[in-house]
Amino acid sequence: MLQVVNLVKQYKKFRAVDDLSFTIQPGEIVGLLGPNGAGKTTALRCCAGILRPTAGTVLINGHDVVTDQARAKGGLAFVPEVPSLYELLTVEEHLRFVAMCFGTLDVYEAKRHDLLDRYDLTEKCDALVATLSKGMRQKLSVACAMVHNANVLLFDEPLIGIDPAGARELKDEIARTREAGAAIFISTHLLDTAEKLCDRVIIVRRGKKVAEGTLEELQHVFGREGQSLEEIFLAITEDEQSSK
Amino acid sequence: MSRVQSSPSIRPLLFLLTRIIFNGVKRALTSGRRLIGLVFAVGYYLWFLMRGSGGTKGLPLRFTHMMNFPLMSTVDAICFSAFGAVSLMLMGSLMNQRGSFRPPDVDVLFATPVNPRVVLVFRIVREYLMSVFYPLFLGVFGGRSLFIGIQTFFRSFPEQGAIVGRTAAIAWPLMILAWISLGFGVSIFVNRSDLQSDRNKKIIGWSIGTAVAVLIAYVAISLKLDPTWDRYVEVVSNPLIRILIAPATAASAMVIGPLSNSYLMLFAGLIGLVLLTVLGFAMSMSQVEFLYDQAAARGFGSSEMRSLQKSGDYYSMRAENARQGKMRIGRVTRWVGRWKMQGPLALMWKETILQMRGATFQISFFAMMAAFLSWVPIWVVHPSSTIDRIGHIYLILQGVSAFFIGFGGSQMAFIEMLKRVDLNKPLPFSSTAITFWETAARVTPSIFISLICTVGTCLIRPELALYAFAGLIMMPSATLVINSMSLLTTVLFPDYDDPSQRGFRGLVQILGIAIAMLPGLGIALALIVAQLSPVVISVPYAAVNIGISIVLCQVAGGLYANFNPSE
Repeated sequence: MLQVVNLVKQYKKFRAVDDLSFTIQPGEIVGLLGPNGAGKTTALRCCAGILRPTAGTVLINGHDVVTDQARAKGGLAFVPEVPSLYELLTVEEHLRFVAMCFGTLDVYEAKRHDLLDRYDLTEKCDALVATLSKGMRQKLSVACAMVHNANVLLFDEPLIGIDPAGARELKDEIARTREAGAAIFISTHLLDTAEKLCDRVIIVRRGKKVAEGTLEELQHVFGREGQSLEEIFLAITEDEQSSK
Repeated sequence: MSRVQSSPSIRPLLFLLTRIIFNGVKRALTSGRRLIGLVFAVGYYLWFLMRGSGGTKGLPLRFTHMMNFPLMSTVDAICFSAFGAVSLMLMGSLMNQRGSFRPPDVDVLFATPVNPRVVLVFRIVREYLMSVFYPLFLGVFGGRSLFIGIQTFFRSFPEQGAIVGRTAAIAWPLMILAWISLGFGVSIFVNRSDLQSDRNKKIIGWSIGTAVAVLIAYVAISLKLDPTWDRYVEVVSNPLIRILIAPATAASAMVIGPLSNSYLMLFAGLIGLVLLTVLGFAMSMSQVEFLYDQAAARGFGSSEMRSLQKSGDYYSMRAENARQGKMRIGRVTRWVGRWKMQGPLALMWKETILQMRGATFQISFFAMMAAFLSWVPIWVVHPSSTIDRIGHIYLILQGVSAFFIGFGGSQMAFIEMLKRVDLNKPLPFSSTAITFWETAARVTPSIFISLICTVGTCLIRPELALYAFAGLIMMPSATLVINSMSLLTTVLFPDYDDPSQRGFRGLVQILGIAIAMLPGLGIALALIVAQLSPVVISVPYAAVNIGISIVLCQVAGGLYANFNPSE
C-alpha cells in the first residue's frame, strides 16, 4: 500500500508539489494526470525516495520512505520516464545488479528466463545497454522493476517510446501485477489509457491536487455526466492549457 | 508479495564498478579504432612517465655540497608550502557538488534499498582513490625520480632523506582523505534544496574566500616588503595560517616530527589528520538523508558538465549553461538571427550563430592571442630591420594564430556537427556540400580576427599595410585547410566519448595539418624568393589552400555520408 500524507516538495522558492495526499490500496491502479510542469515526476520521485520531501510523509507498506528507507524501498519499484541505465553493463548484468541491490538474487535467478523472454531481452542478454534501442531500454527498465516482486510500483510515463505490441504487453503486465495484489501509481499524459487502465485518477495542477476519483466520481463532482476523462481533464486544467 | 533479503551490502556497488571497468576495457578491445586509441593513450602515458623517471640523471646537484643540515624551519616551510598549495586547491572545491552521481544512479540505484550511508562511504572512498590515483601512478612509475630528488636534497644526510620520503608518503594520502571527507560534509550541507542552504553557502563561501584572499595578500605584501627566504619562512610559520590550513599543518608535522626526533609531533600530526577525517565523515553521515535529494535535483548539471569538459564539447557545455538559465541571447546574435539565407548558405548562417553563442569565450581568447602574437613583434623587432623582414615575421605569426584558431576551435565544432547528424543529413544537399559549407562556416572567426589584426597593424605601422592585407587573405585560407583536416580526422575517429580515441585523433590531426599546409607554404616561399609583393603572394597561396580544402571536404563528405552515430 502507498500512502502519501500532505506531501510538499519545494526547490528554494518554487513549490513543485503542494500538500498532496492520497492512498493507493493493494490491487489498485491510480493514474496521476496533469499538464507539463504540474509536479507529477517530482511527486513520483518523492514517493520513490529519490527526492526528500520538504514536508509530509510517504509510507510504503507502512514504512516511511525517509526514515525507514531500506524497508520502504524493499517493496517498491520505480520506472522512470526516460530510463537512464548503466550503459556499460550488459542487459543481464543490469538485471543482476538491481537484484543484488534488493538482495533478491535467488528470486531473480528463478525468474530470469521468464523475465528476459517476456520483455524480448533474451537475444540482447549479453549486449551492452549502450547498444539498445530506445524501446528496448524502456523494456529493460520495466524488467528491472519486476526483478524483486515489488508490491508498490511507480511508473512515470511508462508507455512512451514503446511499440504498440510492447505497450499492449506492458498494460497486460500492469494488470497482472494488480491482480497479484500490487498497488500501482502511474503518471501519464495518455488520457484514454488512463481511462481504461486506472481504477482512479488524481489530477494535479501547479503541484496541487485539484481532483481525485473514478471517472464516474469526477463526472458527478464536476457536473459533466457522460463526458470522457479527456474532456473533464481539459476543463479542469483549462486555465493552464490556455496560458500555454 | 515483496520479499527482500535483509541489509543489502556494498556488494552491488562493487559489482557495478568492476563490471563497468571490465566492460569498458572489453569494449575498447572490440573496435579497431578504439583499440588504436587505447594503445596510443596507454603508450603515451607510459612514455611520458618513463621519460620523467629517466630525466633525473642530469639534475643540477646544487645541494650536494651542503655541509650542514638545512635548518628545521626551512624544511618545515618547504613541506608546509607543498602541502598548503594542494590544500588551497582542494579548499577551492570544498563547496562543489560531490559524488559524481549520474542519471542512472538516480533512476536505478537510488530507488533501491541499498543503504545511502553505504552509497556515501563508497563514493567518498571512490573519489579518494581517484584523487590519489594519479600521484600513486606517478609514484609507481616516477617514484624513482621523486626519491632521487629527495636524496639529492639530503645527499649528505641519507638517513634523514629516507625519513622525509617515508613520512611524506604517509602524510600525503592522509591529508587528501581529510580534505575529501570534509569536502563531502561541507558540500552536502551547502547544496541542500532549502532556502537556508543558500544562505549557508554564501556565508561559508565568503568566509573561505575572504580568508584565502587575506592569506594570499599577507604573503604577497610581506614578501614584497622583504623578499628574503627568512621572511618567507617566518610568514608560513604564522599561527593563523597554520590554523587556516590545518590539514597541511598536520601533514607537515608528520614529516618534521621524525626528522627532529619528536615523535610527539609525528603523532600529533597523525591524530590531527585522523580527527579531521573523522569530523568530515561525521558531517557527511549526519546529512546523508540529503544526499539523494541534491544529486537528483541538482547533481546532473555538474557531472554532465565535467564529462562535457573532458570531451571538449564546449557547445554542449554552453547548452547546459542555457538550461541552467546562465546564458542570455545577445543583441548581436539576435541581429544575425534575422538574416535571410537560402540554400547551403543557411548552414553558414546557423554555424555563425552557434559560434557566437557557443564559442564566444574561445573566439575572444583567440582574437586577443592573435593580436598579441602579431603586434608584439612589430614593437620588439629591432627598428633597423627592414619592413620586409618585419612583414614576414608578421605573416608567420598570423599563420601560427591560424593554427591555434583552427586547431582549437574546429574540433569541438565538428563534434557538434556529428552529434546533429540526424538533423543535417536529411537536408537537400550532398554530403560534400554539407561538409564544405560547415567547414567554410568555421572560418568566420578567423576572418573576424584577421580583420582586427589588419586594421590594428595598419594603424600601428602603416608601412606594413601590404603585409596586413596579405594576412587578411592568407590567414582565413590557412584556417580553412586546418578546419578541413580537422573535419576529416574527426569523421575518421568520431567517438567523442572515448578519451583514447580523442588523443589519437589529435596526433593524426597535427600530422595531417602539417602535410596539408605544405603545398601552400611551398608556393608562398617560392614567390617570396622571387621577391613578389605580399598581396600577390597571398592570392595563389589562398587558391591552393582552398583547392586542398575542397579535396579534403570531398573525402570527409564520403565518410560523413556513411557515418552512423549508433556505431
